Amino acid sequence: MQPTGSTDSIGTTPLLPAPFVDGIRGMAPVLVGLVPFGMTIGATAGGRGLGPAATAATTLGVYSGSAQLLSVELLASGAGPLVLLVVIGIVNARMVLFSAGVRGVWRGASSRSRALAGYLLVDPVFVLARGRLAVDGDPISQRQHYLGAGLTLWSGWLVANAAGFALGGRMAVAGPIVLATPLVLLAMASGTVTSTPSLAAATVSALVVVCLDGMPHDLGFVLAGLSGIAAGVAVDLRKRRPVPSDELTVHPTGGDRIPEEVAA
Amino acid sequence: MTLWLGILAAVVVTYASKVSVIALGERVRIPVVVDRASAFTAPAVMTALAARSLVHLRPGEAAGLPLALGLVAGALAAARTRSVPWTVGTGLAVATVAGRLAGG
Repeated sequence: MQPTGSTDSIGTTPLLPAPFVDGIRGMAPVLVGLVPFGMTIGATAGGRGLGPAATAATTLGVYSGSAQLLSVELLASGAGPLVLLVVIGIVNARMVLFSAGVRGVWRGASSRSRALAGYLLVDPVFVLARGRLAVDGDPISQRQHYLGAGLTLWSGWLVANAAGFALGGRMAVAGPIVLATPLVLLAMASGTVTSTPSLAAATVSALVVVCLDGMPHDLGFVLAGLSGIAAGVAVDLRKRRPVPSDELTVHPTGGDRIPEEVAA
Repeated sequence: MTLWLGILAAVVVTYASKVSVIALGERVRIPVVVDRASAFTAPAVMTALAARSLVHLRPGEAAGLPLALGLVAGALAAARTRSVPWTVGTGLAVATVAGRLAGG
C-alpha cells in the first residue's frame, strides 16, 4: 500500500505525517459507527437533568464510553463520590491492562506525551494501536498513528455527545442505524481474534456478558472481561505447556514426533 | 457540591486507570501475568462490548427481521473481512433493503 502523506513527486512535504493520517483513516469508519452511541450518551445526560457544564465535564473528563454512561446514570441518581470512585474504578479496570498493552509505544516519550496518550486511551484506540504494533516497529511512527486515531475519535466523540445533548428527547435513533454501534464493535472484536487463545477469550466473554446481563453497575461486563482474559491466558498456557516425554509417540521412520503446537 | 465531587471522583479514577502504566513506563516491571493478560484484553473486552450492545439492541416496531438480517450479514462480513467499513456498510445496506422490502 502507498504510504499515506509521504513526500510527493515534486518534493513537497506533507502537512501531517503519514502514520498520523493512517490513524485518522483507521479511526474514521469506527467513529462513524460510534456516533449513535455518543449521541445517546449526550441525550441521556440531558434527559437525566445534568446541566451543560456537568455534561461537558463528564464528557471531557470521563472520556471512556461505558464509564461515561455509567457516571451519568450514577450522578443523576444522586450517588456519592465514593460510589462513583468504586464503581467506575471497577468498570475501568481493563484500562490498566490497555495501558500496559500500549506501554511499549510510549516508552521514552516525554511525560506530557504520555499524559496525553493516557487521556486518549479508550477501547478502539487500544485495538488500533495494538494492530499497528504488529506491523510497524518504529516507535515514532506508532505514536503518530496512535495520536491520529485518538484525536480523531476524541473530537468526533465530543461533537456526537454535544449533538445528543442538544437534541435531547427529540433524538430518535431508529431504523437500521441502531445497528451501527454493534456492527463497529463486532468488526473490531473479530479483528482481535487471531489465535486459539484469543478465540477462547472472545467466546467466554461473550457468553458471560449475555448470561450476566442485568447485574447492577455493569458488573456483568466487568466479570465477562475478566473471565475472557482468564480463559485466554489458560488456553495460552496450555498451548505453551511442555509435553511430557511419555506423551511423545515414536514416528515410524524413527525419531520422536513433536506435537504441532509445541513445534510452533 | 455532591455532583461535582462525584464528577471529580469519576474523572480521577478514569484518568488514573488509563495513564497508570503508560506514565510509569520503564520504572516499573510489569508482572508476567499482567503482560500475558494484556494480550487477551482486546478480544475479551471488545467481544463483551459487542455482545452487550447486541443484547441491548432496541429494534423498535416491526423492525426485528430486517435488523436481524443486517446483523447476520454484518457478522459474516466481519468474519470474512475484519474491516469496520465493510462490516458496517454490509450490515446497514442489508438491513435497509430488507426493511424496504418488508415495508413495501
